[in-house]
Amino acid sequence: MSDAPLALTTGGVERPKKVMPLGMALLVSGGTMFFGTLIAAYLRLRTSGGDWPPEGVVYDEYLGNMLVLTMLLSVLPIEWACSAQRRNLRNQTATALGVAIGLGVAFLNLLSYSAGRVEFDAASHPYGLVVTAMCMLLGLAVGAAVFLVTLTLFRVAARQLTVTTDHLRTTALYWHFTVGASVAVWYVVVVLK
Amino acid sequence: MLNLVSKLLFTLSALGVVSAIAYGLAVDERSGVAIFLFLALAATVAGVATSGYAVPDLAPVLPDDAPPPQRRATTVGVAPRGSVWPLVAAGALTALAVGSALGAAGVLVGVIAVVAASGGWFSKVWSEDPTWIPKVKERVSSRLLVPVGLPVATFLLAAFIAISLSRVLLATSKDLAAVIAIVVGVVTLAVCSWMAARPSLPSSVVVSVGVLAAVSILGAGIGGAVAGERHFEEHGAHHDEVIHIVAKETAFDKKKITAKAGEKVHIEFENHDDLFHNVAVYSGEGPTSKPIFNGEGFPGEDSREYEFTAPPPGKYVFVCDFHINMTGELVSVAR
Amino acid sequence: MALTSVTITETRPEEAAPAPPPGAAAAAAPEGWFATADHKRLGLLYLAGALVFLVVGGAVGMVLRAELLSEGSGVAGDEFRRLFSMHVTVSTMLFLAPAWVGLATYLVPLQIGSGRLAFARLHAFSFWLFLLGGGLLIASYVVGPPEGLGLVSSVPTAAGEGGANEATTLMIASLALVAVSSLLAALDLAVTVLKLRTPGMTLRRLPMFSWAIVTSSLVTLLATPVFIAGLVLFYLDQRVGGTFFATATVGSRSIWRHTLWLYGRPDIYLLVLPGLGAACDIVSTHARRPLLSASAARGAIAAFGFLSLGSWAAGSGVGDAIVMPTYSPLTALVVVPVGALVLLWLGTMAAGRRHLHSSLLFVAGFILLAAFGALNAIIAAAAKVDGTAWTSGHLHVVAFGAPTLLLLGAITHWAPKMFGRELAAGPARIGFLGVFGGFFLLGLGSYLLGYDGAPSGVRDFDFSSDTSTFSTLSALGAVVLLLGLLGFLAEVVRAARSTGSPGPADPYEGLTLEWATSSPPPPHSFDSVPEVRSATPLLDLRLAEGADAGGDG
Repeated sequence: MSDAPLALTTGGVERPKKVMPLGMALLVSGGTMFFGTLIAAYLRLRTSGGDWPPEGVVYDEYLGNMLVLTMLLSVLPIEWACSAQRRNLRNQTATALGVAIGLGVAFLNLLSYSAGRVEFDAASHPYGLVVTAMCMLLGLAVGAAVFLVTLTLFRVAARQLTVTTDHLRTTALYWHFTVGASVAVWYVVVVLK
Repeated sequence: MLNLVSKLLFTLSALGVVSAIAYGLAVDERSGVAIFLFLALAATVAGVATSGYAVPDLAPVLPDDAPPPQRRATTVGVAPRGSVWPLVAAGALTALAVGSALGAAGVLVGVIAVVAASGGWFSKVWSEDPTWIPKVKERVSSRLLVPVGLPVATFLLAAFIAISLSRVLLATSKDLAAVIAIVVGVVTLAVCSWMAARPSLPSSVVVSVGVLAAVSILGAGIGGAVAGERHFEEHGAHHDEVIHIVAKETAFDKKKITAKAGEKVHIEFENHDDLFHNVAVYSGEGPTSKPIFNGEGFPGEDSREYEFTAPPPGKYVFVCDFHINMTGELVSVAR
Repeated sequence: MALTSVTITETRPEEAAPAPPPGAAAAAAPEGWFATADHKRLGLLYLAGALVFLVVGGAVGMVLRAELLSEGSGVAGDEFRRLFSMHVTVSTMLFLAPAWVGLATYLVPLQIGSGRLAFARLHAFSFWLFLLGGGLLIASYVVGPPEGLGLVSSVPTAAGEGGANEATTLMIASLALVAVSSLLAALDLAVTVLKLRTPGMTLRRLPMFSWAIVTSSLVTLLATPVFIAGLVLFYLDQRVGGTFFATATVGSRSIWRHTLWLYGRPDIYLLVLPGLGAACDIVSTHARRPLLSASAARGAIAAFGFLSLGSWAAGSGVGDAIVMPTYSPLTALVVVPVGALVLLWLGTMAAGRRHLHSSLLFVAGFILLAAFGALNAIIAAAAKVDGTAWTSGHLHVVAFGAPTLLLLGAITHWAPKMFGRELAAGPARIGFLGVFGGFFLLGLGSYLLGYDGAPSGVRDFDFSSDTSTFSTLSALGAVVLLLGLLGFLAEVVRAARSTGSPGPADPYEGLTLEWATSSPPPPHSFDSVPEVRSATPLLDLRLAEGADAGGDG
């Protein structure tokens, strides 16, 4: 077990322990189970027989595709922000985060528009309930991500984040999780219909 | 570099896949299979997160001639800095939970509380950052807080008071509303003049008066919102809405009527045929179910007034019991 | 050698700035209880909150017992169902689970030599959420009957026409608060152990309690989101008056069982998992030696955690099998790791220098009660007993009684550390007798009732002379249990409140780091942390000091 020396920096001072990315990564694994359960419930309904999709439910594939594309696109500015922060380019970091916030808000706007367009509601059918729950929670998750990135942007602007801090990495982890969740929800709702 | 925990998580991931297959074969129930597969995925995520340098798990190498272990003289540990914000945030989230049970207004109040609490928590973290020195503080307050924050805060305060008070005034009767408005005005004037007359008032008194006022306004506002607005009457309007239905040539003239759940429905029914007609209301399944209301049938030319209590929100049908093809829809909406 | 000059600078991990001067920070007065982020205070708050909820849950249980005994109806049918659901929910979700979190919050940072939590304020948030959410849960039962039998029923609760009443939505929302709270606490505890161990403390050298906490925290992290997702579906369905959990919806039953049903979730096993680790530490401390095989114990604890996740393998057909809560073949396997651990404890006691302590009584009581439950499960399986009062007895013995004994044992064991003084042996043992005897009688009566065929959770069943005797036995057990619990709690409160000079740092010749700091520890937890070169750093230290003394002499 002990065949390598413990990583201690010179001067005998332990490096500050980066707890936040690990905490976020574990939270993301919990989030995977969360959306996984909703998807499991959806799949269970699909196999339970009866007409599929239920009568009167009309999909607008175009909107769904645009939603997931928006989220996929937002990976780029987030990664840009991380890389800029590693090189200590504050203006670039702030710009990239601003673009990411814009994409997130665009996603939320499109989601609420799509919600108004769909021809079923939560009470109409068990299917309607699960799909509503998935889309609503996805919206909440992305909303939280936008909120988190906004707070991070404030801290970037105030020079509170340095090259060594891991706030941005942590925020990025969560953002990417919401992207993954939206891809998963898009896959089951739009592709698998 | 895998440590004990990441090895376990990867094992769990493999077990998740195995369980999914076994469960699928044995029980064939798709939600369980999916949950096990997602368990495998989530365990993989956690396994990756805990492997490598993220979780170092190596003991220092001891040379053979190492001195015996000792109580190391560490620097004194730092007690973590606490804050009251976690309590406030938990209270706000609980308020959201209560609010969501009460209705849309409750949700709104809860969301505002949660956002305010997280903002407060964030500002606490912000002010603890080493970059937050008095000079920065002063610059921020002179450039941001005074020109932008103050007007916004004033506007929000005014809106808060106006909305809360308007809920109260709308919930009470016209005369009482006038009395309340006068009393609130007089009390505000009195308290403000009392405070203005004592320039050396301790700040704790000012703060408690402010908190007391805010809480009472908020409480009154919520109470007013819950009680709902008083019934407004337009001059000359009917006290109760009467629905006219005419039966002619074995057909109703209306295909759809609406009613408010739980309130009385008045129907003025005119029969212009020589046949027997009536109006009966059934639940969605149609006339085979138990009638919700069954009006008296009569031959024309004649008319009757029916009155019944509207059923819970939902869609119903109204039919003529003598002629099954005479149908229409009754929509009962929530009040 | 660089090692000896290593100093630890505790920095707030979330800031990169140089640590404040240690002296200044140590001198800073800790905040009050409402603003505290000190893991010791949070741990005590968690424990106190859990014990308060225990009293509430126990009081409700007594009302139920009294009702089962009396032939008349003081408590009407729906009221009985509602109280029954509340009793079970409060006793598990608001007492046992958070009590373990509280103990872990206090002890784990000491056991790993960090003296702090990774996300201290998040942990404080989790505590307040638990307290307020738990209060709200009870309030939801007070303001009006929530629909259905809550999480105790294996059949989904369908939404009423036009949406649920306020009590139902309040109940679901407060359950979500409690679930989120447990998720956050588990997250923090896992990260604390994974990241903040003192140098030399590898994962293989973790004290068993900390190891069990890591395992149960990781299982909580993976299992609780499933529960929360189920709550969201439940909430929406009730709120809009949908048809998701209606009986006509094919598949909703299995979704209900995977996500919401109390006994279909891994969480029910997590009530005992931390206790297994605590018992390992209790046994090895009082045997004055490490466990016979630490890796076997670690493996058994991890296996128990894995198997708990197997509770999702119960299909909708398995339903109310009588060997609940170990009703699926996969989860019945938990007997194996528990049996292995019991053998390890017995072997360790036999091999060590035994010092009998009250806490060992509780461990012994756990073994007896678990064996009693296992025996009845075998009898029931052979006799084909139908799901009846038997289940209620089995739950009280296995799912609730046995873990509670371990919890009280752990409190007895670590009381000198937490309060600075031991629980007096007399009251602790009387408390043990009451709790153990109470659970035993309660279980025995219910088991016998079950073999006689009376339904569980149903008020006023047919009173033949036999069942009446058995009911009386059960009720007697409940009274004894309540008296034992109250006696024990009174002793804990006395120890916690008593003033005077605190006891020694290490009253037991302990093996692990929590005994290296004073009792109770200072706000910063450690003045100095011993070097860790094995799983038993204090034993190493004593050996080295003994060798030094011998050399000098």
